[in-house]
Amino acid sequence: MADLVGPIVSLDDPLPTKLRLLRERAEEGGRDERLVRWAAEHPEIAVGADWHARAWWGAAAGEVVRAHLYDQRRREEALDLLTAADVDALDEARRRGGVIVAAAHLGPPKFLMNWLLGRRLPLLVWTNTRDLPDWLGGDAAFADPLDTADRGVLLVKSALHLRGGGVLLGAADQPTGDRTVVFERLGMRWRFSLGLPALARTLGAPVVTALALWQGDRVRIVCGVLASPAAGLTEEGWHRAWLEAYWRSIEPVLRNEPENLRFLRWVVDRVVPPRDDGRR
Amino acid sequence: MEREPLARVVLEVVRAQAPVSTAVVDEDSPLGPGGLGIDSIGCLELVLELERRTGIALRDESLTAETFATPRNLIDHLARATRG
Repeated sequence: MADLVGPIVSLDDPLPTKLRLLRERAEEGGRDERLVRWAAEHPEIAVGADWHARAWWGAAAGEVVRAHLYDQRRREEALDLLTAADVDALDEARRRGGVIVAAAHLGPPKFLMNWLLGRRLPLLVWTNTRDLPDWLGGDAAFADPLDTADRGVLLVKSALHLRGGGVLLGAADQPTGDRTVVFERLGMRWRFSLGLPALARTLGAPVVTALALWQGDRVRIVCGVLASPAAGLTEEGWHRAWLEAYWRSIEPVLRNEPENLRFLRWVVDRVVPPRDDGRR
Repeated sequence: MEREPLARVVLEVVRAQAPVSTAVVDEDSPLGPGGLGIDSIGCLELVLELERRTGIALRDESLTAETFATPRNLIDHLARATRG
């Protein structure tokens, strides 16, 4: 992505200018194979040059915003893109103690995390810690779910954090974990880790879904309550019901907002394998 | 709680939680995927059950992957937590 964005924007341009320049050049942007495949599977979505341009712009603009968020001098400029934050569900849930904030790999990367860091919450963030600047965070703690050796510790520490009234931010569409489940939806196979649902189930912790999404050249944050599945389900049934509820919070974005798809990194494959008829 | 009854509870809970059944589960049995097959979610369930059974609340400052390597490490961790 940096290769595509680099020639278009100058490092010194103000962020709104960078986003506008990317918009002007979006139709020349590349077509990611996963999005081409996604578009082919969904004839109900009016996929044309405009759809691909929006998808490319969202991903390119997201990388520019990520660079700003990770630059101490330019971070505020990125956070100024926020146009609205509907976080009543989070504030309400916090009155009852620890809360799981179930995010997704949609919209501009790291925006939600940075915005929550600014709210001075007792925050534990599951994120890729390898590219995290050391000045970021303040009182917040970070843990890396990709660190396979420490996943047990990660879950136990997260449980203790929630029990102590903290907020845990993690992406529930994370495809890697010790236990995963594959869903078939929208003609594709999607893999989800069971880490967050397991925490919600074992602790009975309230869950709020939260997404930071592009809205034009600005960003909106939307939260919603994830209703806890009915008691009496088997463990597997409970986890599936939880993920079904989570899915309902992200599906409208997947269907209608190509600029927020961020290249669908957790898609496993199509449900129907590609036809091997020698015409590739 | 003394170490001996604590060890008894830990081994009992580990046996109940382990997806891999073996004839012998002792204090040095590896808990992870190469041993008794307790994964990260199993770890979480194990800890919550141990807290429920022993009344000992774990604190997160001293938890490491090593804590969950064997029942012995867990017992020692819980024993330290009771002292302090």
